[in-house]
Amino acid sequence: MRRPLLVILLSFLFVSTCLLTPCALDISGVFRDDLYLVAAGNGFSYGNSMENRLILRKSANSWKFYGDLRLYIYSGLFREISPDPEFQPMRFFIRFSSSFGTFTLGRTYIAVGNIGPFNPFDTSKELNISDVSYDKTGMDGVIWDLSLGDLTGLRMWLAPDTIVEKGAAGISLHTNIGTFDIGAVLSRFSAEQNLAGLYFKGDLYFSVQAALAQHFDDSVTRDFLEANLGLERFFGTVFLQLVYYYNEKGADEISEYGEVFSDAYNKAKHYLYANLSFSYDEFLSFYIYSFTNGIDLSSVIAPGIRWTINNGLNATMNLFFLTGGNKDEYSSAAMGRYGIMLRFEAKL
Amino acid sequence: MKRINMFLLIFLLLSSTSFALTAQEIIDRVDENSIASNQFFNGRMEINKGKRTLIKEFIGYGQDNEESFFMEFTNTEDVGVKYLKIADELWIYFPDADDIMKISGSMLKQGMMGSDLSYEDMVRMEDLSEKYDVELLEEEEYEGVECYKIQLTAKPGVKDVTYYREIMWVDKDKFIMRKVELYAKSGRLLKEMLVKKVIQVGKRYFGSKIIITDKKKKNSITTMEFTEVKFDVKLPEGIFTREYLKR
Repeated sequence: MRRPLLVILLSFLFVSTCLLTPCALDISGVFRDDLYLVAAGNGFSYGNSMENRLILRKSANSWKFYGDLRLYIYSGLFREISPDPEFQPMRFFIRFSSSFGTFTLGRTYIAVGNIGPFNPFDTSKELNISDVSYDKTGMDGVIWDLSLGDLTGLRMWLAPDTIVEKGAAGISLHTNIGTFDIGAVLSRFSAEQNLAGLYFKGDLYFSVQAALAQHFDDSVTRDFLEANLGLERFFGTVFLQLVYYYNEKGADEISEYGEVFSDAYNKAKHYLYANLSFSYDEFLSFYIYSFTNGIDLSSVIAPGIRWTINNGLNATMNLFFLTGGNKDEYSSAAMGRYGIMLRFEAKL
Repeated sequence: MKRINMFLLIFLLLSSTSFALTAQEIIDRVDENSIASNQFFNGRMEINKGKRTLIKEFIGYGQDNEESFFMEFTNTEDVGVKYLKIADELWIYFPDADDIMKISGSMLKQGMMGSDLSYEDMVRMEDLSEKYDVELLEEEEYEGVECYKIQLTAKPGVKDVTYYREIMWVDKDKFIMRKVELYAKSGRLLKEMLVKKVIQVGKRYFGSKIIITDKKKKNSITTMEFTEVKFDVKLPEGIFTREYLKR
């Protein structure tokens, strides 16, 4: 019953603060329509995902409210999976700042480690291969950010469950040394899922980022190691990004593929994410990115064009090619040989 | 004070009378008149590419001649996106993800929010006396205003400068830069900044409308206009910290 109670509590806090403070509620929105055509079997399949976002903001000197409520409406092949419209309160939180630190109460994405694909410290190991930067679902909980300096701080978070022992919690310390942001993390998701590790991001010739996380259970029995190493650099207007990901408990062979893990990305032991993009100007950019499974060497390769039509109105055309055989992870037989996504997004 | 960055160039304000000044004294006068313990600004950026236009609006605070600054975008498309600059480093806050990302070194050369003003221009803090030879070229009229034309050239052996050579037209009366040309070592003109409107804020003069042209791009112009500027204001507590980005 944790979620309804939290929503009631937040609603009460929100309504009471709205009534007690003079600043206005800021409302905006985003409409996004993704149309997919996928070549599967002997023909094409069609699917459409419509996302309507309602964003609510209210802020005063020492606090702010932020809500990001999303309504998804599906048709075509997506409707076979989700026949009814879906409501998703993606973010819904109040943040209060005081001399004791900043407190966040509600649903938000609990960010730890470096932003980007294959972050071992991510509280959500979802990987959207058709939209790498898609927002991740938030968690219900409390976050306490304590500033220990301009660029140094401690983050503690708690996401309680009905049964206390099942609750999740974490602590991380981050700072900046030279051109490097570095941090240490200790997180607990359940009795079987804990992790501790280090990460950094900084500048050499390339911008380098890396993370190393050891998973273990409540009795500190070692489970598996997870790590990434990333390089990125602009060459003029061309941007190159490479991220290698290692998951010790991932499969070494195709025959060992099981279910996708909840505490690690995908199925295999090694992955490579590559992204090459080129900005023609402020309005038009081209990109190609790929995910490659290092065990079966299957890939999803996605070239695309992003066009800013006008203030707040964007269009994207994204193609997908899957190279894998029947048993491979990125299997063209299972996921379609290729596909196209057309996206229109309006910020309202 | 010999440190300057693009925001300082944009904040180029000044006053006073003219004598037979050396190039260094002119630069010092520009700096003297620009020094404030901190600033608040409210502005608008119009990015034009041919007939297409993007509008960005922002508020911000600066301190110690932009050694630190905080900037928050307020236009509908980018509302809540925030930047924090401390010395030569830059962080960006994304409200959708509620997360902070460090801007990597090579990304600093890219245009901020698609504008002709790069991230590097924002973080640029160069000690002009240490890194540049300063020379008064001539006195020249620019758009009806009597100006000193000053040239700054990177000293031999100095490599970590954003622009190898700069030419500035400094208003002889108000000691504010009216025009700046920024050159690569090859002699290629990279950027041009024109101050189109000057306002007086207290005893200071301030370039409130600046047109920035990236000469590497075709038909690309960014107009930055400050609608409100205040100096020596009371800063929100902790504004130049990473934690403040999430507030």
